[in-house]
Amino acid sequence: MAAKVAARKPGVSLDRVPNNTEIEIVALPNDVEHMRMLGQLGIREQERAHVRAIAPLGGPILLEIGGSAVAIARGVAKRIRVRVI
Amino acid sequence: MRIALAGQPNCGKSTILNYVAGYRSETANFPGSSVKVTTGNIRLNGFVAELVDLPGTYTLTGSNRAESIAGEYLLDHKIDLIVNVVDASLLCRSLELTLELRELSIPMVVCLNMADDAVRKGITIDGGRLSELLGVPVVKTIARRGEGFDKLFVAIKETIGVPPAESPALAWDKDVETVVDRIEKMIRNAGDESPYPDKFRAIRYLETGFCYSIRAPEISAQALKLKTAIERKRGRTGDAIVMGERHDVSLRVFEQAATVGKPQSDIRNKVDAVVTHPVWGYLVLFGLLIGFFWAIFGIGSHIEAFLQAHLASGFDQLSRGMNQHTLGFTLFKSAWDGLVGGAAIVLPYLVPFLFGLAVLEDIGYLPRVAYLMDGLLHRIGLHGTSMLPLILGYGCSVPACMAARILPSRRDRFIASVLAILVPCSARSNVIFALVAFYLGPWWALAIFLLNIAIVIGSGWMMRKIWPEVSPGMVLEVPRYQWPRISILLSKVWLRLREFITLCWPLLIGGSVVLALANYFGWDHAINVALSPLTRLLGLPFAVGTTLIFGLLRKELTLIMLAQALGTSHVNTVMTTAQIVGYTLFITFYMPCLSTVAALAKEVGKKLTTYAMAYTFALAVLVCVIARLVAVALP
Repeated sequence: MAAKVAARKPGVSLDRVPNNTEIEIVALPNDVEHMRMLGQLGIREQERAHVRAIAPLGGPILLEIGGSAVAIARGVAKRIRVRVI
Repeated sequence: MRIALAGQPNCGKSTILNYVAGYRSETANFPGSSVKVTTGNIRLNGFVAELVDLPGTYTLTGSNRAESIAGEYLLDHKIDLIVNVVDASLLCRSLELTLELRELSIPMVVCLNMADDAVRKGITIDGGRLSELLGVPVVKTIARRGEGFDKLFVAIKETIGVPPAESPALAWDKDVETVVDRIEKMIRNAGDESPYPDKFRAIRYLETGFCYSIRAPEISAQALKLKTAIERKRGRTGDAIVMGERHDVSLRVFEQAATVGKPQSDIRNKVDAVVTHPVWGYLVLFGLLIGFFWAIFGIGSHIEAFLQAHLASGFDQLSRGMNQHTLGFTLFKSAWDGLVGGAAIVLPYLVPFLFGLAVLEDIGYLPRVAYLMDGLLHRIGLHGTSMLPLILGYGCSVPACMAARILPSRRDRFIASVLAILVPCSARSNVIFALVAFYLGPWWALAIFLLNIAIVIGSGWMMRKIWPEVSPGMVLEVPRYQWPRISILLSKVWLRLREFITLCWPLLIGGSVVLALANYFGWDHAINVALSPLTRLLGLPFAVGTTLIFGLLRKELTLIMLAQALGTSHVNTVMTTAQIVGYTLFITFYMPCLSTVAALAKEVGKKLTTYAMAYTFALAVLVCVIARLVAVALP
């Protein structure tokens, strides 16, 4: 059931995007706390971003968006859906 | 008169405060480094105004404590004017907070700081047009260089008593505006007294479901119906709707007031590519930490040896002819030991340490450390933002405890605070350098620092097991590198050093005198007897018991007290290698100074602080006993 739900979601999760890739944000985590945190840093649906670096050992993803750089933990990145441009 | 500096993290508020009111607010190129309200006085129009530096916040309804401090301060205090400091190179995003601050209807000036960075990014901002659209004056500054302050002060003087002008450019979508207007009318008709503007209360109600002083239940029920209806229509919660409206307006204002051209080439991006590289990044981090350690030890040990030699001969000359068995000689020698201890044992390591820390903070390297370490910290139940309290802990445990406010959950704040106080502060690092490194060599000192890191990691892992809770996951802005300015670095070092010179050094001298008197009259014997079960367990000399008590005041006191207690400053002639290491390990872990205990209690409460103190004490005893057993077992 979970696999079917996952398959219906658009795009891919951010944690699966390779380094140095241009992306468009498709969907954000639907809990208020993360939506707020991400929104405050300019990470919103339909915004474009660049994956600048990926830390090893399950570390965060460094995203360049709106002129600033934001480090997003892998657990949060798993819940952000993006489209590779 | 009170003027508040409000803005997003890393926009230069503290730099502005320090420039105009004297250095009093610690700056660091790390979001969340200002976690408390700092004030300074400025002269304006012939009278003195209080300038208040608020913690950086992305919104007034922030989720972490540092952000809520800013929001609460603006709502709970009478503010005559807000200076909204904005990073000009991040104008579009920054305007969302500007719009939120406008809703307070307090006179406001927008300070477009870091104007040079905006130019480098190819962003050209029409300040006049922006001012028209926002309905408030806009002034460009480069705070790090002290540029634009004259115009800023003129704008402040002219804007006192002038609330933001209405601007049609800031209108929201019709359906949301209608809901806000209707709630505002209900609030106005209710007639209840409130210091907050009605429109602000209406928006806050839509955003949070809470409105300051809506007392009448029927008003609340009607407002709730309107809120629920718009949320159903939009398919989003009220705060998402409000955030969305502010975002759309910010975008519109940005597009009308700014143009974006080709950015200039920036070497900082190339540097960052190496510093955040999955392999090179860790090599750079490791190299920097080792280099930092060796530089402090190298500089400090040379200065210490030089000063010790010259000050010792100075004492010999001054005390010539004095009877060594008199109270007068005892008082003179103990005061001299305290004075020399500060100059020759503490300062040679403290100054280079504080300078190095200031450089790392100012250039913006620390958020990169958080990025690199997040994966590892996640395994002990924390996230990368916890690096700030841990790194600050190497300077002083008090701001380290306070820095934990930036963490979202109570559990994370507690664990980060406890781990931060386990990290050796500059005072404890001094003990490590001045005792272990000086008498046994730098490799021993390095081993203690590495052991400390291992114990901090282990403690974090254990606390995660005891208090399991899923950490929300790090989302951290990584600011641009800034070239550190020597004047700011020296000011920062002086700000931290001043506390040592004005508070700690007199305590060192006073403590040395008190212990010498206790020694002279035989009172210290009673304290040492009471503590002898502990010192015996730890394998330490009987006489060091009193030094552990003084260490609760300031850790540097243990160095001076040790010389007093042992009757010689050549500690290695009285204590064995195992005892020097054991003593240092115990001092490193046992309990922080009383200032830190007070700061921790304020952050996490008395009960959790008591648990933390019991843990650190037990840990110190365990580590010291194990070290003693290892020393006995080794040939």
